[in-house]
Amino acid sequence: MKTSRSYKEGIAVLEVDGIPDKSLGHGSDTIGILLSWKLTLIGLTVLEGKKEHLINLVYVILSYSRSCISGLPDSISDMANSIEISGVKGGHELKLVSNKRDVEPLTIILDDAELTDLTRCLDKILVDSYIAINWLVPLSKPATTRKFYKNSFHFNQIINAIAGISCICITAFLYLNLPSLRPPTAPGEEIIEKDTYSKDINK
Amino acid sequence: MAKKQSSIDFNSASKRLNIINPNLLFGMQTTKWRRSIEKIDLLFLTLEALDVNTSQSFELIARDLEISHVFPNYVAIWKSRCHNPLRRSSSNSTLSIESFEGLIKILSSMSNQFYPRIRELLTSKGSIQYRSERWNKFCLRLEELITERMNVRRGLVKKYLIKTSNSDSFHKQLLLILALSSGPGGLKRLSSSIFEPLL
Repeated sequence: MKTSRSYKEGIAVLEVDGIPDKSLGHGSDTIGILLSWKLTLIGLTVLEGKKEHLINLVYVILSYSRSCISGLPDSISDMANSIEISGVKGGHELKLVSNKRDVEPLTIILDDAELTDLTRCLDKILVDSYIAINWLVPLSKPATTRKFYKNSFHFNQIINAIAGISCICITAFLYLNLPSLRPPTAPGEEIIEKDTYSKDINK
Repeated sequence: MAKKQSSIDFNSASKRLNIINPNLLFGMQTTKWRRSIEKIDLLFLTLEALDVNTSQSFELIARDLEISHVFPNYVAIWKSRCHNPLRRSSSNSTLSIESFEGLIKILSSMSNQFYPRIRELLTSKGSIQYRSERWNKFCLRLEELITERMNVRRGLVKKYLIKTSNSDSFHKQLLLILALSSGPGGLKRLSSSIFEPLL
């Protein structure tokens, strides 16, 4: 028996239809086989597709949200490059490429509020216990420190260190090249001390 | 006399809420830890800038989240937040890992509660006049809170204040972090990004 479930968050409304997978022992309320889905972005567009498209959309959006929370919005796409999202001035550009030849790619610009609505809506389907689908959930690994400092080099940050090291080097150089403070020895003084005096004792 | 360095107490790991991945705690550096507590406190200040009475609901949230054993009252939350070294009166004592995780949990839950207000500030739709009015109010309140609570002689606090006065991007980043920390997957996103620096 067909089951429908709906998730609403701000501008995003996701409706999924499916049937339980009896071979896996699902209950009558559970969706194990996804038949269709429809994502309505109110005021923007309506998206529909196959199960794989939804899985890819969830993966792309959640990965992008994870990079946004770090403050480094990367351009993220799925394996088939059918869904791509990247940061643009004043928002986030979601590009959807249809499998059909004659259909032009669809580009939607989402603002921060719309992106968070979509993320929260997709989060809801992920935690729903009545949906038994293997989602591609992005790994929640922390971003590497190198990523944060890659483009943030400023000469001012190292000027103090350079000045300090230069001071030490200059001081060391001057110290090593200073003339000795010891009074100069008279000519032949060392010979008297070491050789002549010892000869006198032997006499 | 040498000043005791504030840090996380890893001995209390048995009472953990298991929000933070244990692999992240292994070999935790002081810089990383300091950065995270600064970030948490700044996000709390952002929430307070959204509503004057936000701080009053911290205790209720802690009770709802069943972490009253970690934060029995508002003062306990405030004491934990005072581990931020950028504060005027910062605490040098050790912060337990369960308090650290508790703060993250409260932050995520509060973000969820204040999501409609955060969304209002993040949206680019609607009346410009209304949006700019709300935005200016929020920016002013956040700047006031930073000046009031933080040690303004610290370089990083000065940097925050310069950022807030120069552009809106810093405010937007803080609000976006809060918005993405809300909802069912928000806690996971926040906890995995908590050790990352604020740009």
